[in-house]
Amino acid sequence: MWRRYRPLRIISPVAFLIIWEGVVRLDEVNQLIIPAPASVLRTMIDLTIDGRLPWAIIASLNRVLQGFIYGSLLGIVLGLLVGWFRAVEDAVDPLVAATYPIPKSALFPLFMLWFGLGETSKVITILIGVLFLVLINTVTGVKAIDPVLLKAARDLGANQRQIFTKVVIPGALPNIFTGLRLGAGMALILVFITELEATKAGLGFLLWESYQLLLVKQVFSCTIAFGILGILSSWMLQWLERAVCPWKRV
Amino acid sequence: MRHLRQRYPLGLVGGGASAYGLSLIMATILRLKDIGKVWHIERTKEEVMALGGISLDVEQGEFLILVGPSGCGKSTLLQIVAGLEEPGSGTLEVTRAADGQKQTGMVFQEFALFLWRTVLQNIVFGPEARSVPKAQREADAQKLIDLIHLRGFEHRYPHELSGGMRQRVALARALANDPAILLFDEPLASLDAQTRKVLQVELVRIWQETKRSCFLRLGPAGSRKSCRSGFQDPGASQVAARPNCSNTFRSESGKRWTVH
Repeated sequence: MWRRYRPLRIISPVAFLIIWEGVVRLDEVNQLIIPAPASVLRTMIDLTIDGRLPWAIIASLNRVLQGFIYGSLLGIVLGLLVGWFRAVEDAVDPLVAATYPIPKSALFPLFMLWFGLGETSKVITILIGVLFLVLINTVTGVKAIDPVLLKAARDLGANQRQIFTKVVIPGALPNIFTGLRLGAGMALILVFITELEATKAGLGFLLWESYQLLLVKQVFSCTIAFGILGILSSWMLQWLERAVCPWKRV
Repeated sequence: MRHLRQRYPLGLVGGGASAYGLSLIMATILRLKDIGKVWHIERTKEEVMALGGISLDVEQGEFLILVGPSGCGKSTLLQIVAGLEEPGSGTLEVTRAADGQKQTGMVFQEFALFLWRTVLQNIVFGPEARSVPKAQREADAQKLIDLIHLRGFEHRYPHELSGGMRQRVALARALANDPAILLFDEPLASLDAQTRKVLQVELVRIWQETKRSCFLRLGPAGSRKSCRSGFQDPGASQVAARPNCSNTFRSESGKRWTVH
């Protein structure tokens, strides 16, 4: 009954850009505040050619990847342990409950005091943000495993270690990926915030500097670059999930 | 305060394989002596007797059906026999295999298949846990796939199978450990009427081909619905029958006991 109008998926964004471009060219809006899409594209190309945009992206990606990888590894390992072992849960749960509600960006000033103004404080802020999301989702994943599957594994002769590796870990994987996706989004938010302070490199730094100089086209360029990073990270995770969980219809 | 609430009667009737003209060497492989189980309900501080005074010998190749209204302890008894639940009182003797391996295999009501494993990988789970060499366990699994008629589906995931197929995979997975006793927890309950009929026939065929003892638990709905296709309900909570067989087997001709 529900007809799909697939061409609209292309037509609609293209029309949006054309209207935007048209309105700006007709001089209906202040080009200083809203530049035309074509001129933003030109700025992006210029920034790419003179190397400023690629270097900014590399600097930010370096922080994001370090924070994300360490944060998710820690989150997965801790989450599996908290979800599976009561003692670990009782030890870790109050700490998590107490620290989780703190906005991770609010920890950044403290981390700068403790770990210096360099890369470490930025990476650790991102790490913490990712860690919590992955940890909480992993715990949920372990707890959501149907108890009858654990019974079945036991009935088939699996010992505790085998139940953990053959049932608990694969059973929690879908939720772990939910945590990773949320964590990737969080990492991008946090890298922007940490680059507002104490740095001379990074996409967040370039964006903020452009804003202070009122180079709106550059601001737009950086915003779009952030968006592209977000899309790429979610594609990568989707691809990884398909490879790791082939039984799931993603 | 100890407050023992008496629950519904539990009925169980069995038929020796010889009753069906099969020539099997009869040997007791499972002996229950005065098995009891009391559940403590924390919230109400109540103690509910789930099982009491269950004694039974199961012989090799026997087909037993547990019937009774809901809450009479069928499931508990099955879990105790499977070793997944400790009996509160009494003793349970299961003849051990030469290598000391567990002799029961359970087929769960909702199949309990590992969603992240293909049909083949599900079937080899038990042997894998016992560290049977890969080549051997997969060769054995191939035979089971033929037995359950799922040739061509071995690399499918459970969500790509129909309910009846999933049930057969669960059966093959239990058989892969080569248990002497197969336990079924309402094996037909979550299937539609059509599939249920087909699987009743399959179950009897596999029972005859593999010569295992079978221990079925049927829910009140399961046993009632099954009446039409061969199970007969004598009115009380005891039902005895051979699935898909008009020659129904009345309780008095078999082994029979009830609790209260």
